[in-house]
Amino acid sequence: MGVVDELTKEFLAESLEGLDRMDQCLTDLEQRPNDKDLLAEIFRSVHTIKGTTGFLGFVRLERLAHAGETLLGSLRDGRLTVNAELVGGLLKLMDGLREILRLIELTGKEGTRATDEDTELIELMHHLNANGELEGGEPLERPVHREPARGDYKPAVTLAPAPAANEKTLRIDVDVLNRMMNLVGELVLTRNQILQSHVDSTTFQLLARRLNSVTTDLRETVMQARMQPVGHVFGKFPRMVRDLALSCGKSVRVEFSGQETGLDKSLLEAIKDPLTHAVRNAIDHGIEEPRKRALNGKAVEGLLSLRAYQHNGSVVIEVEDDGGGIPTARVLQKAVERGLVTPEQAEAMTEREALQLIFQPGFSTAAKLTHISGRGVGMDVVRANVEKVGGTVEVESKEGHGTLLRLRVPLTLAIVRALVVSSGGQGFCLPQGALAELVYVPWREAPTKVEWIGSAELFRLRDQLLPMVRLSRMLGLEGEGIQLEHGFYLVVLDVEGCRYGLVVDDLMTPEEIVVKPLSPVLRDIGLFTGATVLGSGSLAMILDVAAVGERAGVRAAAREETVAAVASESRPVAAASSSFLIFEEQWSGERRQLRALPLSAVVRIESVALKDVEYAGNRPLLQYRGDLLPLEDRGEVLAGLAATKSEDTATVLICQAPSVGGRTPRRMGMVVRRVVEVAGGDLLQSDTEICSERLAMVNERLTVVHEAFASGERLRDVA
Amino acid sequence: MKIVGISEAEDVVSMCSLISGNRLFGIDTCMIREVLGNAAMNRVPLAPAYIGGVIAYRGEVLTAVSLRALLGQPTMDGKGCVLVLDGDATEERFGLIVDSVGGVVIVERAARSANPITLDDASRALFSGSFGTADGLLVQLDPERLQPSRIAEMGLFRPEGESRCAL
Repeated sequence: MGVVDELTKEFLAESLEGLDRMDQCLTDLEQRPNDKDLLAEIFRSVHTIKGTTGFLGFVRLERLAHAGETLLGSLRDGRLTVNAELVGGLLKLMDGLREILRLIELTGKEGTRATDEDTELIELMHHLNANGELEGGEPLERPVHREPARGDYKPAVTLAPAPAANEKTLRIDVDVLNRMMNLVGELVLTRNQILQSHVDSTTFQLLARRLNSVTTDLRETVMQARMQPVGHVFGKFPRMVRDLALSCGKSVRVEFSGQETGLDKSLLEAIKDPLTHAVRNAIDHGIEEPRKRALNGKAVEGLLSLRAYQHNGSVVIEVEDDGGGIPTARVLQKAVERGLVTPEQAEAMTEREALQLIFQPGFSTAAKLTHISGRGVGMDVVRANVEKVGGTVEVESKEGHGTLLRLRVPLTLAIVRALVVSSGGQGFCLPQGALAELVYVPWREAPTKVEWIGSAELFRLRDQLLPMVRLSRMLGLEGEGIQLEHGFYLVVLDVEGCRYGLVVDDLMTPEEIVVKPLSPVLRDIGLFTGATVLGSGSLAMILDVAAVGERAGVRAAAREETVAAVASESRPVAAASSSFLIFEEQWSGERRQLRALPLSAVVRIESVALKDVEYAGNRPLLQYRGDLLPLEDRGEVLAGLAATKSEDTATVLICQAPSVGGRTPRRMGMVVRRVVEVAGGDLLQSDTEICSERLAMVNERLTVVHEAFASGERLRDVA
Repeated sequence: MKIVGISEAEDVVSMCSLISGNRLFGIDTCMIREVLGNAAMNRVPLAPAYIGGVIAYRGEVLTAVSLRALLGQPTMDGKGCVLVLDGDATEERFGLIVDSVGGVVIVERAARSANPITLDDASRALFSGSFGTADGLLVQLDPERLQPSRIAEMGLFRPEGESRCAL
């Protein structure tokens, strides 16, 4: 940006920030017309802009700001009263100012084209001012002779991406900067000492430790400096909501919480668009028209809440409206019409699964469809954008009561958890987020598990066929690798709704890796998102799991299959015949009673170190992938294990009940003694007279089905 | 890096001499940030042939261009030297893999002779002239022309990756 000097750049960043703040102030002003402080603040902002522009010699800007200032002056002195028209006019003024600022940023000049828009705006200011004075402070009822101000907002202007000046500069607390400098000084001192000492000297250990702590502190401080309050993004929403609501003829109130929650700057930029989209959706499709709301017995004014909070190392941002919710029945109907699912599949889907359909790409492209179904304008884009930065999107909706969209993003992009795998003699990193499970396939089992359809290799995983992708072959590494005697590993990856198994030679360590960007030439290969230096000192490429799947052709083909898989997974509870996981639950007792769980309810089987099990009161809890999981230990396995001290790990089934209702079903862990097998079986009709528990015939033997999952009801709240 | 005692007059250039195959090349010393000896190269699967690999350098991952590959010379066994070069304003740093680095040679700017017209396209795109020195002809390389993205744009060096992608 060579056209603009430092001083102007600073002015631009400051003014744009001021204008953004003013948008919010103005919308607030509409709610609280008599707030003197608010008015004073707005007046000050415009005044500052005017003052600085005069100083920098931007005449056009100064004239416009001056007109605004005069109007605001009358407002402040109580000669005018606030009404929608006035606020509309002022908002237009902000847009006008913003446009000139943007022009300055691009060209270095405010533009000499004395277009009439300025004059028009200035006239509008005068007009509004004069109007008020004529009527002597009476609220304005009579529309201005030109179009009412509210009518001619261009949403394009308001929704345009934030100007570049804001994205390139960052305000940092001087204290943070000082702390950073101190740490750098510390680093230099430590280096000096290390250079002067010998490897075998006694102080070396000490110095190494010191270096470690200085580095950690420095990293934290820099990360902290990059953290920006989420409020920066939230700030522009009141204005946007106001404009949108007006244009849709709805009345909407916005509420915020957790604006101070910090998020890495780059991530903040990344979620800006998805969030804007979500807010727009909520107003456009979520919140009903006032009349309809009144008919349904709701407050006429719709409520949109934006919440941000930190939760287990990630930041959660929720967009909730109290609108009509997503009509799942219609979503399903449309999905069937679009050929995304078959009618049978649709029949078997739970509400939650049906909601997930709005994230399907096919769902959003048809304009008519989205209009009718209510939601889902580009929801696939929202999800893709959030997943790109390692986040997730969830949607919860209750018909008639509202919709909640939850974005979960990591605190920082720079450091991610990844699994290092080796293929063809080279190490590669797989982001932990996409990892569903790991399967070891010994050679002797390979012939029975691997099946071929044409040239495609498929792996039979729990009665489902999983497309296999051989990493070494795709990367052209075959032949370079060592011949493996024992077998191979299958990394089951789950990206954007499609699953595939990546065949790798070996698994290495899970590591926290620092992501380094690649040069454009290497990015063009399209399979790597970055590179990282491993603990061993060697470099490893980070695989773009979505791109690998796509190149292997998994994506298109897998879509139908995953939908089918989802459908079949949800079926066991409804249909009589299904697969069950059989396990022993009781630690003690002579009679080894077998219990069963529908396989679809089991997400994973984990081996958990006993020391990782934590207790709240008497209830065991497990921190699992950023969630706090209640553990159910009915067989007193934990106590048994602790007593015998024979093993230090417990087997935990991570379960998820098929949900009914809008809420995310709670996950839970079930501590079991031993997993026996997976078998097909039939759920018997419950007969409370014989036995209060639900039974199933598995392998010709009667097995008790765990009650929480036996019926289609929600998992009872364990916590 | 400044070299003490050498006049920085307009008419002389200090060149860092380097060897690839058994040919002598030179790069303006002002454009070299650092020379890394014995650098461990990490190959990148599916990368174009002229990319020798990536190396870690001061918290960055540098893409290294192999001079041998560019010149069509057979790949070398063992480790070479990596010159860390600055690209132009738009491009990040990159590395250049050569067999070995000689020393600093001072040449007169005026003594440069242009590329001969008989030179093939690929070489002409890389070389920016030559100087006669005591050790023989020193061919000047211009870091800007060696930038990975620039080479990719030229299209003279067929990416090897393409044929493999089809698999």
